[in-house]
Amino acid sequence: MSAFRPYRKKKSYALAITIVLLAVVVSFSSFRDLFGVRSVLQSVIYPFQFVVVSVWKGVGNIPVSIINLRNLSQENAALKSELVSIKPNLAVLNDLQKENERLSRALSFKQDNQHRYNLLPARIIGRSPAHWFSILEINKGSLSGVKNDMPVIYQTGLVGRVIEVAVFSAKVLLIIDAGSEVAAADVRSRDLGVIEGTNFNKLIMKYVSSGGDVQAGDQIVTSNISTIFQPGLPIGTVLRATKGEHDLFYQIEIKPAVDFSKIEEVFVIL
Amino acid sequence: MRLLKILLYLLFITVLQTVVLARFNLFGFAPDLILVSVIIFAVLGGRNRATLFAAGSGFIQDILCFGVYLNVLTKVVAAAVVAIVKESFLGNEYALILSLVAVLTPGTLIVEGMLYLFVLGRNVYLPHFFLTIIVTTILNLIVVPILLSFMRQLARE
Repeated sequence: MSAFRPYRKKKSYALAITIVLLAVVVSFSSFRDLFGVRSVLQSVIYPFQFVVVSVWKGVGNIPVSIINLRNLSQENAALKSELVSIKPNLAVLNDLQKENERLSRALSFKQDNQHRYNLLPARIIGRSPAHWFSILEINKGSLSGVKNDMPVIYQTGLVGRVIEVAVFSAKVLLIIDAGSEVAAADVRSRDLGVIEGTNFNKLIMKYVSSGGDVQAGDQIVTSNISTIFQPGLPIGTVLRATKGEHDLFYQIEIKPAVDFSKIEEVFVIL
Repeated sequence: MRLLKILLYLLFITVLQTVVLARFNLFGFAPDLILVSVIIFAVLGGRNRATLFAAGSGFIQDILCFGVYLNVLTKVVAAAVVAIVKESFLGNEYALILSLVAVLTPGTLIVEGMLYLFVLGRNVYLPHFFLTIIVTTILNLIVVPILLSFMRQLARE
């Protein structure tokens, strides 16, 4: 049997090398969507993600209920049995109220914007499992009219753009992704620049001429020279704007208008 | 039957990674359950099966990411490295897995970062790069015992 060992080793190395080469070739080819296989597989995974998101929202109330129960038992042992049944319900109601408020805000935001954009509400069902990409997955796809490069926004500002569409879901490249670039303008001084992500909850504004006037606290919005984003969508606020004596451009840090760690629903501009 | 169990396991960790860990993480950092699974599978299983598992899991990860197959590449290379190291390692399985996770997590992240920077021409911010490497390695080491017990059940049949 040991006589076959070197042959088996070579076979396994050949398999690994073949897969690596295939991955490289496909990545840089025009058929990297694998003739629609990516979209089909995304649609296969989607129902599982959707179910887990729904269960996750329900399970999220359990720790609150447990903490409440512990405090109540210490305060009043006599009312414990009664409170055991009431407190979890209160926690659920409280959560429902918060969700109601959030959705009401979202609805009024949608109604306020109806005259300007055709908005499609979408729920976030997943996030990219890779470290170097900031990508969200939403529960609306080609079936709902979502297409590549459509802008995605939240009540407070710009979220990103659609980069891949499956039947029931789509992927959104966030503006904080290090590969994202958005043409932007300072609301006060109208200086133009390009917003780049850092993969952190921070943005950088590049190519603003040092002859311009950008100050901390200035609002930054999408500019009208962008071919993807509608002008005037809020991007963030200037945290710091510095320039050296001989610098051609400003060095500008922006705090995004959207807290990307907390968003649950977004809107696609159709 | 075993193949079905492996596919279900892959689906389970993918959903766990993309849905649950996306909401329950440490300042945006989460363990790479797929890489840890690939390392454990390569230690517990045979060479070819480990390569195929690595390719399959990397492929699923890439489907849920950007349109390049970076994870297929790094996961298959990681499985090959594990297969080579495993042959000459004299010691207990658990220590081997922990050492491999401690070495291969930063290794794959550095390779991915380099490809990301030089091949895809995208920006890599050094503070984020180093923080990702350190925090992800620690988190990966923490999840090893949990995933190992799961995968031992899979390998038992």
